[in-house]
Amino acid sequence: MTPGIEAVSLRKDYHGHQAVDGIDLVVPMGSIVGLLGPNGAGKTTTLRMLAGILRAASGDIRICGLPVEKHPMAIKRRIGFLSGDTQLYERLTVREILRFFGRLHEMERAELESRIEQLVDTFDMTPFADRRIGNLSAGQTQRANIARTLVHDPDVLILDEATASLDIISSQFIMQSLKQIRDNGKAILFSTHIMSEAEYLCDQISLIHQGHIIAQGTTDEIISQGGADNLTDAFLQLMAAGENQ
Amino acid sequence: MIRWAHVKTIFHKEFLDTVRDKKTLLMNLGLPIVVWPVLAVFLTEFAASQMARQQERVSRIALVGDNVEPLAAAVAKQTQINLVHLAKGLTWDFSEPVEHSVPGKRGQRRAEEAPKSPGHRQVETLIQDDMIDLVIVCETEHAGPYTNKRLRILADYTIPHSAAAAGRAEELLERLAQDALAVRLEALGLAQAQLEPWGVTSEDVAPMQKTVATVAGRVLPLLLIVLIVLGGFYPAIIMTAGEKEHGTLPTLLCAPINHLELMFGKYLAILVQALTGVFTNLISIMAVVQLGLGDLPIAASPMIFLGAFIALIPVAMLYTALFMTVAIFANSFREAQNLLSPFTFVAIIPAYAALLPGIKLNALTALAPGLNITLLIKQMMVQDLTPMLAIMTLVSNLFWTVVVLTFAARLFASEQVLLAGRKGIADVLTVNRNALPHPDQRIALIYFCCILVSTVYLSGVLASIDLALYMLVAQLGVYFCGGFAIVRYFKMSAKRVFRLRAPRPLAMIGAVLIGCSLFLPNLWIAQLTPMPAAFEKALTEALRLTDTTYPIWALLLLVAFLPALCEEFAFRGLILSGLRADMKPVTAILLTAFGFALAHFSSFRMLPLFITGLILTYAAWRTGSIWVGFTIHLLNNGIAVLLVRHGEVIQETFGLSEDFQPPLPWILAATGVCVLGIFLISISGAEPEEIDCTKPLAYTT
Repeated sequence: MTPGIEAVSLRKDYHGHQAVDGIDLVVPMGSIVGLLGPNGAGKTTTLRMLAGILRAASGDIRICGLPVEKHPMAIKRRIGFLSGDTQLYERLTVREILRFFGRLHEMERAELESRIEQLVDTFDMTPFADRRIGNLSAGQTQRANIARTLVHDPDVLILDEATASLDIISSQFIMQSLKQIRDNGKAILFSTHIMSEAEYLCDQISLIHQGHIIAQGTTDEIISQGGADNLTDAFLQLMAAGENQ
Repeated sequence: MIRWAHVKTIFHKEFLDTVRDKKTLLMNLGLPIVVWPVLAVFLTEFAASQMARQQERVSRIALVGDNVEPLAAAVAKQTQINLVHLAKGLTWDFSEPVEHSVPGKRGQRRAEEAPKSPGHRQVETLIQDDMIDLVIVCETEHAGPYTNKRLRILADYTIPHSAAAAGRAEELLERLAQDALAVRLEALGLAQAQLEPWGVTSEDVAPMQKTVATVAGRVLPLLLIVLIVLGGFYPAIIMTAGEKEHGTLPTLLCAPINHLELMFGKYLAILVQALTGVFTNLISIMAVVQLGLGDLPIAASPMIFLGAFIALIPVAMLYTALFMTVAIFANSFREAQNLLSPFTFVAIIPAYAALLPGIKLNALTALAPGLNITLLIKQMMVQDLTPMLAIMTLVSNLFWTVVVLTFAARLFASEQVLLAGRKGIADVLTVNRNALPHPDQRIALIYFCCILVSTVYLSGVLASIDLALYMLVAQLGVYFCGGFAIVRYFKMSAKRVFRLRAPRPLAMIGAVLIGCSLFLPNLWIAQLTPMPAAFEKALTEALRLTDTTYPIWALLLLVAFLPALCEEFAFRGLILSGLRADMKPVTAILLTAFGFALAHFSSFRMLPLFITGLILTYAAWRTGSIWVGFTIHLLNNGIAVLLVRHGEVIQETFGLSEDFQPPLPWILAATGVCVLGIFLISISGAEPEEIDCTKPLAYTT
């Protein structure tokens, strides 16, 4: 089966600094892959390149088998992207935002309205669906944002720190929703720095450090590679080893 | 490809988002609706109350001098004038002090205010201390059997009640003078009409409507331009830098839209916001005028407001495009405000220029954005507008709008501009010394700005002292040494940057042909934008072309050789090389020629200078040698010097008219020679690609 995301030898530099240096990554359909790394490791740049927001200096990206360079618009229709940088318009309501992005994805009016109601129901947003984003809590805003990434029913989800700054109840709600989306056959690339989330959610984990992938595998394989008892210790061990290299 | 459905969706979202922003709503709708009526009511009431207060106020007048008693008796009868008796210790000396000379520039005396007498200063102090409103100085003089009064009213016209008192005093004294004259004439048995063989009066033939329209035409366009600027300022920031600051731009970029759809969606939303603001303001002003100041018929006519609004749309298109383009560079609201503030002046200054006397909409001003619309509205109001000029104005604004939007499209396609983060603009302006093997457009721009600024200041300070000093400092110092200093600082190759290589013989033949003939077509082109005689005289004097203390060889050295050498090194050297590093040849040549024309600071000679610049720049680019342009420049300037210095001889020899206007066949022949010269240069053999300073030279000689 064609993987949802396939990246080979991905590179990107900013003003002489190599932010991403030869990353290879595969996210099969129906799985969640975690991308873990410290601040400045190159996670956000990698995710932005995969989402088609940034152009890679070199390397090959394929989304559901389609090369990003050749089909940028088709790729965007198949991706839902969320990161700390993808904020929502404070003066628009949840429904208005979902309608706006649905229209940009060229959804039919009736189909779009039905999809909006489905997402409002799935993410339990009925009480605040007609309130402006600026008046919502962080958890409510994040639910609206995830709904925004799903409005066009993408095959691939790229989520960068999707649960950051959320309370435990909101985080749990979102993680449960992601598992359900994965079970529906979607490919999810999930970046986080909360180890327990990665352990709970991800089928595969890739550790990124200084623009390189330094370890890949299941949670158990990563713990084993790090020679530790848990994912946090393994992460720290592998980072230290990466520094020494 | 632009999908207009996407543009419409983005436009709709932007419009909704901005309309819900209280600040924009307040600026574009709230303020106009409230401010104009309130301002009108308060201003009218304030002006009326001030006028009434002034009329009620009794003026305090003091009389000094000879034989003031009869005048005092007449003043005492006035109800609104009080006679004030000043302290006896005051002395009144109105004799002017001896002038002292002020050291100034060579051959000039600095214009200074004439010194005041002690008496004048004393009156000024008394009025300032609110002791009196004015003083009437009475002097007597004898003319045959008669004793005449000479009266001087001393008032401070900057103080309203002193100026009002002066008006009353003038009226009273005029009446008294007429009475005294009548008494004398009666004694002589004459009637006043017998002494007035000529009566001169001036009457305005313009209809009232035109007079009011002229006044309104001066104020309204400027006001409208200011309103466009205010209306477009905040929406442009909110939809660009505001989105970047709030992190919503990356969200939008996740959607399957291209950069043109994004740009047009935002642009149309900004434009509509700006026009809505102007429209609301106009409606509010019109309502105020209609209800409150109904006696101004033209200003109250809705058709005038509608016409002005429609005329304003092209300039609104241009200014909002400009604001959006500048604001997209910024990463935050505050940064965008800082970046845009200078551009608001750029937008408003041309509108101010339209207020200057004598500036009318013509083929040249119709091309200047901002200025042309202001003049168009001004002339539309007095019904003095030809359709061709209106079309030219429209086309000119549309052209500039397309230029700005083309640049904006590049920015919207640049991930560095949209997502660069805090360092985005800093990167654009920062020059890394070690990473600069050749000049780029930043270096060219900075160097050009240095040339402009130094030319302004040096010409003001040095040119009036000594031409040679000015030319040496400005040309050799700034143009030549400045360019070399930059090249040296950045460790560039002077040989490549300044194109220091010997030209091919064919190119030199072409250069000589152009240099000897270019002045004739230029003389004809200069006629299109004729320089006023006073300006021409001042320019000739500034260049000392008619100053016989400068021998001809010195003039040729200063006005022909030095500019040819230094300006070529500057424009066809560093600036062209810098622009070529980042631009296509056509763009770089056009910009270099435009900069060359601009650096001469003469709007009247702009067109011939631009054409000359084009030829010089093309020659340098095509041949890869600075010396081709130098030869053209040297010959062209040299001939200009000889024309002015030995104008009479040349006129007689060649049968030219007094203003050196050559006959048409001569112009055509000279243009043909120029074209031949350009052709020879174009086939002279050097390959432009080889001489691009960003690449190694293929050969050197």
